[in-house]
Amino acid sequence: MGVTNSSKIVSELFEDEAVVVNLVNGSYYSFRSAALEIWKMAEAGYNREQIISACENQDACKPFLDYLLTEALAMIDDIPALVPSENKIQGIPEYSKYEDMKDLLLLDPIHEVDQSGWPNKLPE
Amino acid sequence: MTDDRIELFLQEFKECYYKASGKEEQNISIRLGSEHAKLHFSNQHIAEKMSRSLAHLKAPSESVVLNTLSVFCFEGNLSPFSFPWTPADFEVQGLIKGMNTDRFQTIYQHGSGAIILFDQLRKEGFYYIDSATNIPYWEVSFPFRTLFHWWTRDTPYQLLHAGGIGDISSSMIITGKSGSGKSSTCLSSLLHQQLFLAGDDYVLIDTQKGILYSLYNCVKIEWGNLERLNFLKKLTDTKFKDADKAMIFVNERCSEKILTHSELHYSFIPVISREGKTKVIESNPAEALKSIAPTTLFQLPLIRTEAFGKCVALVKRLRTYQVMLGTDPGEIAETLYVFLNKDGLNRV
Repeated sequence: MGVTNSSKIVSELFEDEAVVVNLVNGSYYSFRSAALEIWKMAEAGYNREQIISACENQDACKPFLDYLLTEALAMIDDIPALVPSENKIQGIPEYSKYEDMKDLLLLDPIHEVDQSGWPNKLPE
Repeated sequence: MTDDRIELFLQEFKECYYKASGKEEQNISIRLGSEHAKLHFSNQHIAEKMSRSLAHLKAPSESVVLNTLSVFCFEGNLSPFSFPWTPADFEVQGLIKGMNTDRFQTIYQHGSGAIILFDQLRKEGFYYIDSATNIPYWEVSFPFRTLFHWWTRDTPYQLLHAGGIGDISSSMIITGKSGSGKSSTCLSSLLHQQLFLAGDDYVLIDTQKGILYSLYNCVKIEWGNLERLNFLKKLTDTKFKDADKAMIFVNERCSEKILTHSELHYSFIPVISREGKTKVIESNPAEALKSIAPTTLFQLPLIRTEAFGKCVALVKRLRTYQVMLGTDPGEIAETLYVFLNKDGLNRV
């Protein structure tokens, strides 16, 4: 599993949270707990099977791995498996998605802005 | 288009500036962080509109050794010159297809119709509009923000979508998207004798040295909020009574309240609370990043990866707090002032 390249996705790890931003569509994410550990492993280049085996609660973690793919934050690739991680991922993934910036990018610049121009939308 | 072709186009475009200007040209030097920029205007009318919010940064030309940025700002009919694109080439956020490379950035500004172009190699920016009369009120409040944003790419500076207040020795950025209480918090500083205002919407930050710089002296406020922030009513500019927001040019009304620069120590995230009293609560760098980066990255076009990196560097050196806003602006300002001073004692 590989994290999508930095021209599209940027992220930063903090002590108990990862902040991930999709530069293409304006969505951004907060990953905590098992989601943070899974993201770290994906960034480090571990493959899907390795990440799943590192999870104590695999049933709870699999949907999050799918979520990373659906959101185009990570890709399945054919990189060789790294030496298996000895870390165990505990708990369940906690994650949030924020879409309050998305409108700025999805606005049709010709038809949806008012006279004051970008980024002001026409009233509903 | 290749860089060579864009460069040729730009040479012709620059000639248009010189044709449009002539004897009426106005040149203004301003401080931009710890550096200088030279703003060239084709006439006094456009200079007045596009430099009013920057007036507090004016520097005597003779004192400027080196300009790290030159901006050419002009209006008028450019015929027979024509642009090498059509409206079909305008993309989201006004990016012009084929005109954006590592060296050149170009947008068409929807609404005003302005063309904004930057050459990273020569550090030259261009702002062209058919008539200065069409410059919108928000552009008057933060002129050249897109050019300044592009200019920061190869520097430690970052144009941040945030407010900034403090005093000569310490300051805080006030972060959050529109409607979060950012402007109200910043404007409350005008009520306090020992607090000063660097900006309420955009500020310039040296992300390596941790210094907050004022960029625009114009602050904007929702008309509806003027009832609550009654003390601001007498400061609003009547020329903009039809604008979506009330405008106050701090440099003209209370220039002594401007904080030109200060060491930056804190990031404050305002939260509109229903409680009467203002409270300061410790937060963390991840919260700071979420309140700074997306709104900065997506309000301004291009160079987002670089901007994100600078936002990260910044939040890691700042201490982050949430401020639960009370209802009395004077009490908000006093709470922030007391915090700045008490925590300042801990810093020494």
